[in-house]
Amino acid sequence: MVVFDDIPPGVLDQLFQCVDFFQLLRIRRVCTKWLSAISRECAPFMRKVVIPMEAFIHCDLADMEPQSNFWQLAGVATTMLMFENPTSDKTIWESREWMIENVWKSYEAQVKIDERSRRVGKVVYANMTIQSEVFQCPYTRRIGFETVLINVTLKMSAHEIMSVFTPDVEDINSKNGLASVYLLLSAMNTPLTVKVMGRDSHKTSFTDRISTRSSCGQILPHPTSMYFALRHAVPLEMDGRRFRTVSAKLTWLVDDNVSEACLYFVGQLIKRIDPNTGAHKALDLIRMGDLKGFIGAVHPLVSTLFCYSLDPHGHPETRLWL
Amino acid sequence: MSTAASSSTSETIAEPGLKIKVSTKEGEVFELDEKVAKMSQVIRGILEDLGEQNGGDDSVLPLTQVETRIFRKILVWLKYHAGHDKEEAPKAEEDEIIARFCEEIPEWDQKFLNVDQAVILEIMLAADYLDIKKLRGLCCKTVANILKTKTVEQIREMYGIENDFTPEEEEEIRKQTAWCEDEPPRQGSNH
Repeated sequence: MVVFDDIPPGVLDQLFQCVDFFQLLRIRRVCTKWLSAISRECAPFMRKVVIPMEAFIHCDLADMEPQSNFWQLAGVATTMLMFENPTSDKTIWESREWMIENVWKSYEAQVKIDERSRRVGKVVYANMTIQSEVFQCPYTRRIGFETVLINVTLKMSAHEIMSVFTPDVEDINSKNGLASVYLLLSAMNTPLTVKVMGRDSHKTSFTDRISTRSSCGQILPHPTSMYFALRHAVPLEMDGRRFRTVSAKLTWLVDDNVSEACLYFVGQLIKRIDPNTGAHKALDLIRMGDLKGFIGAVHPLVSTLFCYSLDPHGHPETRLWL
Repeated sequence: MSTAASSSTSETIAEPGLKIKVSTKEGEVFELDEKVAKMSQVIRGILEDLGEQNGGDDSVLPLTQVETRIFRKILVWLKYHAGHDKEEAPKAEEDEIIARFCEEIPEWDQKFLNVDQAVILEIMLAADYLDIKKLRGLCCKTVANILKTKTVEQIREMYGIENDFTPEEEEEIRKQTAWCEDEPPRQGSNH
């Protein structure tokens, strides 16, 4: 008869690697052997902290006292993985973002009071649906921080994104300016949902444009640098069966006769979101019908928003305005 | 799909090739196809050390820590997977973690491991001894899934683990994680 005490440390370690972090914290109480095995700093599950969204059903971080902050038990964590179990009931948590935000807040609170040699430098969101707001957590917008998305559906706040774009005051009454305002408003009324098929990642670097500061004055990258997921994402509300990528959709939406209003709108997007790209060169690519070249040349947010603005509801009525 | 645990050991691989003889703790000898035998990294290592030309003779590799009844079960698993598994490119550590948590245990393996807790542990130990990584991983994942549905007290009782904390020590640990000490969900489980 085998009992658990017969299990060698290596196998016990592998077993614990199949258990999520909150559950590990709970089962530390089984016996001293488990406590010491789970508490080892060199254990892989201490470096890569795994938190399934379903764990929040039984845990409320809002109830967590500062002295019980779970991050103090993960002093060497360098990566956090969050995911949704495919079999769990997804209707029971409505505010994943709130939960995710609490995890980061707890982390920031803990690193302020302890001196840890290693810090979390990467987050992996897998098999889940998240709002784009999670990209706005100050900690994850630090230079060098890597965000990985694996099979993630991203609900983007069009308002948040489009707020960076308003037509110039002098153009507002022009035909082109009005068309732009119409595009802006129609896009703002419809949330943009995209699906990252497979894996995409972004490490914030010094080349990401810097525009904002956190509450403690730390310089943060421009929020648009966080929307890396738009590079290869499938826009779900754009008839995913026909259009696997923004590129394919845009190629369909934009025919040979691109109007000046349309070009104006793209020019404005580039100006606000991607000023480093030569607007004239990018617009010339559209004029020449080289949409692949255009998409390759501009920030993915430009091509996605352009595509989305043309067809926010999956129907190209807005093209009549252009 | 084949039935799992009930699958007969007569399920053979297309090309029998070289036969490898192994003996269990009780001395019972089994003759395995080379492909099946080499799924155990321990057997593979021994064969490589001996030189593969010796595999065809009458030498028997002793597996002194595996009981016959457990080896019979493992043989069923090995034969099924030798015939069905495709070569998989090694995954990055991170992808492996995601797969470990997000991928369901295949139905055949679920049925294979739908046995008594003690037997799962014995298979897990034997898989570790024979270094059959995939089977060991499946056992760990199965046990981890069971742990999810049990309280700390139930885990101790189920696996015969003595609570060797003093009441004060246990209370101290409980306090640290009071925010996640709720009862686990009672999921449908045969265990």
